Amino acid sequence: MKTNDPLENMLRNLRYRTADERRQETLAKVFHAMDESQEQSAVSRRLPIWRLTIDTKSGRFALAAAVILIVLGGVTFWPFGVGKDGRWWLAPPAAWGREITESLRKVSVLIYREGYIFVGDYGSTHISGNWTRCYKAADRQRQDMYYNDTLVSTKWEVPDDSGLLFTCDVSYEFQCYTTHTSTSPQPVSDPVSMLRFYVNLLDKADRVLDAETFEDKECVGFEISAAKYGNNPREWVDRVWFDKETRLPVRIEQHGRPITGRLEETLTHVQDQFQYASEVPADIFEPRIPEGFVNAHPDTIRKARERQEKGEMTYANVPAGLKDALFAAFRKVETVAYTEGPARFYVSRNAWRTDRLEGNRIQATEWYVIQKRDNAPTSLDFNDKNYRLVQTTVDYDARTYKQTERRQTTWLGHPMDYIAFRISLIDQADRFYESAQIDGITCFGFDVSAKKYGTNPDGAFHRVWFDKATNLPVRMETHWPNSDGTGDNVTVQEQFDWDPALPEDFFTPQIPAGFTSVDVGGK
Amino acid sequence: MFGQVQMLEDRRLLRRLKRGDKDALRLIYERYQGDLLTLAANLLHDAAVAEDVVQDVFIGLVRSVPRLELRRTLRAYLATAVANRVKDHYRRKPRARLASLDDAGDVPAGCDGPVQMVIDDEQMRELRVALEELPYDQREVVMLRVHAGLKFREIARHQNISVKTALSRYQYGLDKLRSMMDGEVSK
Repeated sequence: MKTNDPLENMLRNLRYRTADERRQETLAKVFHAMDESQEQSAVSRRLPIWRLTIDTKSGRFALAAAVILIVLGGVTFWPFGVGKDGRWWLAPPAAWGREITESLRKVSVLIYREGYIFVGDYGSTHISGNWTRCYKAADRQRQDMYYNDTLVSTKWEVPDDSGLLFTCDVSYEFQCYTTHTSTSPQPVSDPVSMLRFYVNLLDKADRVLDAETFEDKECVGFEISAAKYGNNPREWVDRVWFDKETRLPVRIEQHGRPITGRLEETLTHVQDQFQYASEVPADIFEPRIPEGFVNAHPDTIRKARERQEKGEMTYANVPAGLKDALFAAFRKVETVAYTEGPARFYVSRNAWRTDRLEGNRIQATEWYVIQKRDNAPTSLDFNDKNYRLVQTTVDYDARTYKQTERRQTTWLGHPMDYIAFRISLIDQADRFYESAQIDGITCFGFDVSAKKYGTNPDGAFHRVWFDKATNLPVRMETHWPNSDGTGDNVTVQEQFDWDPALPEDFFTPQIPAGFTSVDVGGK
Repeated sequence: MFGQVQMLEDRRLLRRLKRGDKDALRLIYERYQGDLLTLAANLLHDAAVAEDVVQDVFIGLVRSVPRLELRRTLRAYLATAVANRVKDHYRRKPRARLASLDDAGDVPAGCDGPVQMVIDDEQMRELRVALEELPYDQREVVMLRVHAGLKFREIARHQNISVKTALSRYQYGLDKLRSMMDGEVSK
């Protein structure tokens, strides 16, 4: 690649070199790996050697276990060449099950990540910052709970000298801990029982999934309704993927799980980054309480702190069952139109648009279209390849248009999610209004302080009014005090039109002929 | 044409490697180690980790070589492997992205560490800092193009984007670097 661009030439010269000594050291390690690989290859007759890296993060208090490397040398999990042309996943499911179950017997410690994805009624997804690294052995377990990349707590469950289960929960966030010893011997779930449970469901699978690549492993999988193994709703769906090479589980997803107290969305529970070990350093399972931590439950400290920071909260008497009734009405809605300031919003399940108005004239229109692959695996990474939001903006005054594509599902929420979120706050209301006339409609409503759900300023609150006849919102207000103390900034959604009749192509971006593109860059 | 010759040469080396020929491995290592280290160091801004990444990539190569079927040049294969491992590193340690070069203290020019910049002057140091400020996707495109010689088609496939977007990212990346360098480097 030749160029006359001075910058490109400078970049080309931005080179690094390694000291000879380090280069020789690296080369020696690579040679060693090659020898090892060949030896193993000779022993296991072309069977894959399985290396396992335990991925840990250094905790703030140096509690997390050191990164270690464990080699399951010589352990051969799979007889080579089972199934048609080695494609074992094309064999009957019962054969999969036997092979996989057999391999799981060799595993004594299981390590994996657990994460959570919130799925709105209207298809948008939001990845929780909370996740857990689990370490499970036959008689003990440990869970490191993180918020993004910060270790917030660790829970150990280990047998004590008399065989009773000792539980130690350390909160680094609140600098406290609790301990508990069971009064009778308590079993800890077998590290692979969960996996074996799924393997045993293979014969009942609803369908085999498309091949996918996870963690650089080619995977095959199946899908099953949770109704097939328990008294569960049919819409609870589980998906399990196995590594084509090792045939061990790589990823488990449980879709459609309800969230306590939240009716506007469901939870997808994802377990991935599975690592199978024959042993791990013993100190992984040794409870450690940092010096200076107090013996108290984190909830007690959290509540005390909140009281101090936010003052006492007040709660209104909201009629029992009202929240359920509101969501029952809201869930029947397919489309809605409403006005917010100088803009009219039109929202449907997979798309929405905003008309920016000047009087009755439309100055600009923005279309947002969700492109989502059906039945695709749900990524715990923010860059979700299965979810794209395409924004098209047409400026009628400037006679231009631009298109941008977003994959980060947290970047722009679905407007229906915002509405649902505000409805969901009713059970935390500070004040409940039994009856009022709003825009000529008989309504009930509530106020809720924004302090109830976050570290928001004093005086910030939402007020929501509902049509008594339909249980659907009529007007939503958000009052936010200006930081300079000059009063409130109020945003209002009003003039709601639920399930309006709209032209078929209303949510399809329309770029008028002759308009020019405004390139907005490569993101 | 060069690419085809290169691929033939790569395949020949790989065949030797599959037979356990250590000279072939040494040849591959010596041929590509410098480019890969430069690529990793410029993506990571952490020379110690960059060394580890390159080492892991070569260890990965010897382990996967029995199953490896090369469909592009070995250089492109190894460069993509480096980029993937760098991404894994950032996924595991998101904060690493925030650490500045000065904070890291790993690659300061003129230090006695095992990895050093080849040309160390004020302008190159400024360029290195500017590069760190570039959005990761753009930085990756620029580095894969400049230091690994990947075609935009290959970069697009790696980033799962269109060729047009890869080209734009490259151009935006260069433009941003120019503006961050205060116009010291004109086109």
